[in-house]
Amino acid sequence: MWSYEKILQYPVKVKKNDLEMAKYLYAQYGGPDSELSAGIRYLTQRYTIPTDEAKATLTNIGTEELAHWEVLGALIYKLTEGVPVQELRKAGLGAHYAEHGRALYPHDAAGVPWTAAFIQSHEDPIATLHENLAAEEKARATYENLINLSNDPGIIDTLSFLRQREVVHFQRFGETLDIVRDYLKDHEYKNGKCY
Amino acid sequence: MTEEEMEKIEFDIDYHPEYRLAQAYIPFQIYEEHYEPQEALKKGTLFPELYHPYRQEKY
Repeated sequence: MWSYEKILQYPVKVKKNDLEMAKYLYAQYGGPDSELSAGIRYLTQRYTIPTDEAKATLTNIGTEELAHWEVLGALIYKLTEGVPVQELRKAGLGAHYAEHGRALYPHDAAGVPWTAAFIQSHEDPIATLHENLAAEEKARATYENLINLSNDPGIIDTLSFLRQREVVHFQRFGETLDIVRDYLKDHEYKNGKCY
Repeated sequence: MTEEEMEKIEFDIDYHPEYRLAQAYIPFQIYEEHYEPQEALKKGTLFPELYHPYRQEKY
């Protein structure tokens, strides 16, 4: 069960409308390595992962990723708020407007809709944790590219916070990998799997 | 090859005894210092040793 707090995890301050940047930020709202992918990925993997530490880590990080997804949504909304249709069109958001108006929709920076095919959930916990370590690094790299694309100090500040969170998550998944590996060594699996 | 035979092989390279090949390891963090809450929120982590800010502009 989740409880909702009506406050962003990190403040979102933008200087002015920036439609192109809003378009790029969609990479982290509905792209393959987006916050949405991360949240769904981790919260889905929780059921079969062994050890309570691993379950708790997936729950906590998965929950935080949803909070990040909300931060991205707020950023995109503020950057596109109240912009005339012709402006949206000029900035390459005409296709988005045709289908959604000014509403947000989980697609990537190029408009490709979010799909569960972006993520993996595997019973083998070693495979799953490597998926997550990779996901954190891909998200970190994406944030660096987004920082390079922006010239708004407010946006850069928020993106830097989100990027740093990925670094911390990587460390936590690394520790989880070790805990799970120890667990597997002590518990012989019925299928005779050898880790 | 049996495990006994495996053990008899002497490697020229001095692998760290705790580590196996083809396995990834991330060292455990030991809790030492921490930032004040306000500073931690600003930086995105409570721990100085985990604070790795992005400084390098890619071309």
